[in-house]
Amino acid sequence: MPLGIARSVLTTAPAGVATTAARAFFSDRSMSSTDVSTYQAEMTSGNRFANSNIISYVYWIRALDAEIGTNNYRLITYNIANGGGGCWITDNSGTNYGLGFNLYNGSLNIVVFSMKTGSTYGDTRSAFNTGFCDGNWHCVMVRCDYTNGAKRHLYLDGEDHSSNNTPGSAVDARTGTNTKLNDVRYVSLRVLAANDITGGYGNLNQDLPAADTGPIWFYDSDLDWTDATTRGYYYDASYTDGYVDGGTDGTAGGGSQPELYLYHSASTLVNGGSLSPTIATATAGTGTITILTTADGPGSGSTRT
Amino acid sequence: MDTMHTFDTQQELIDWVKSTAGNEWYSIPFQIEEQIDGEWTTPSSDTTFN
Repeated sequence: MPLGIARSVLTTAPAGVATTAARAFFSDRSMSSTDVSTYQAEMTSGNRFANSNIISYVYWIRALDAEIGTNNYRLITYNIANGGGGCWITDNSGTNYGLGFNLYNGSLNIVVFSMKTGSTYGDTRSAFNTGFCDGNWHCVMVRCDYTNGAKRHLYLDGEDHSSNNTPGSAVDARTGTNTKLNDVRYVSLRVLAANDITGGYGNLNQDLPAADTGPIWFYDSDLDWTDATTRGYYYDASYTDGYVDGGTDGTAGGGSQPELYLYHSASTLVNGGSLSPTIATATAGTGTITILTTADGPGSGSTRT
Repeated sequence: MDTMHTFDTQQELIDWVKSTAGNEWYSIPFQIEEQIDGEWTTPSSDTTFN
């Protein structure tokens, strides 16, 4: 049967807790190096997301524009062979820039970018490059309900930046079902490891080693980022970097316990969420992971230089 | 404005996406449909790009 493909364009609430800085990590610092290493959470049977259509997450990132090349760079992946998605940072030569995330169900790919007109980091490419990729810690909030086009948002530092894949475009409202999130076997912080046989990617050219990664909250439910109280559980502009610490289970800021709460201890990445994944490192070549202390992590006020 | 591209087989569609969007296919919104008995509808099988 003939197949067709249509695509649009090619081309502050009180948190109630004192601020506490967190640890973070990064891999290699050279964009040209294929020696990279990162973490992945393996979700075995009985330890996977329950919802196949909805995902919400929060994470902290620190990057420098001068260290980012002209590509898409995957920050988080949770896809399988024919479903799921991920989040990336973009500064290519096309019309795209900023952060983006997708959800795919095998035929419909929903994409949300951070190029909202008038937004602090999304109004122009330079606003993102100089404002977001400035070496300071920033908070990213993702919300995507595959079945409801009104529940798709990308917030940066507590502000709505949601758009489609061209500057100022409206968020894609098309709907579908079954993105297979409940079958995701690995959540990887950057490129999905090639040894994930259900959807391993292993494209190291799309890894972003030159970025620091802080704590991450993953929910298999809808978190309404348009609600200031909900945002305040994770981001509070009155705190250093805006960082609201989640404690050991992600709830210290006032939010509910996520399915995955990945944060760095003094020695490795650990999970404080309700699921019980196996945390492992995924390494290519001689890549190593460098741990940042609380004096350099989100909430510290320090800058990547 | 959406642009429609048609292919005779699923593999031709995959090859075209990989040649135009490369490994960044996930960052482009799109919808795949299959023509069955003249009607465009949800495909009978998933399409994998990884």
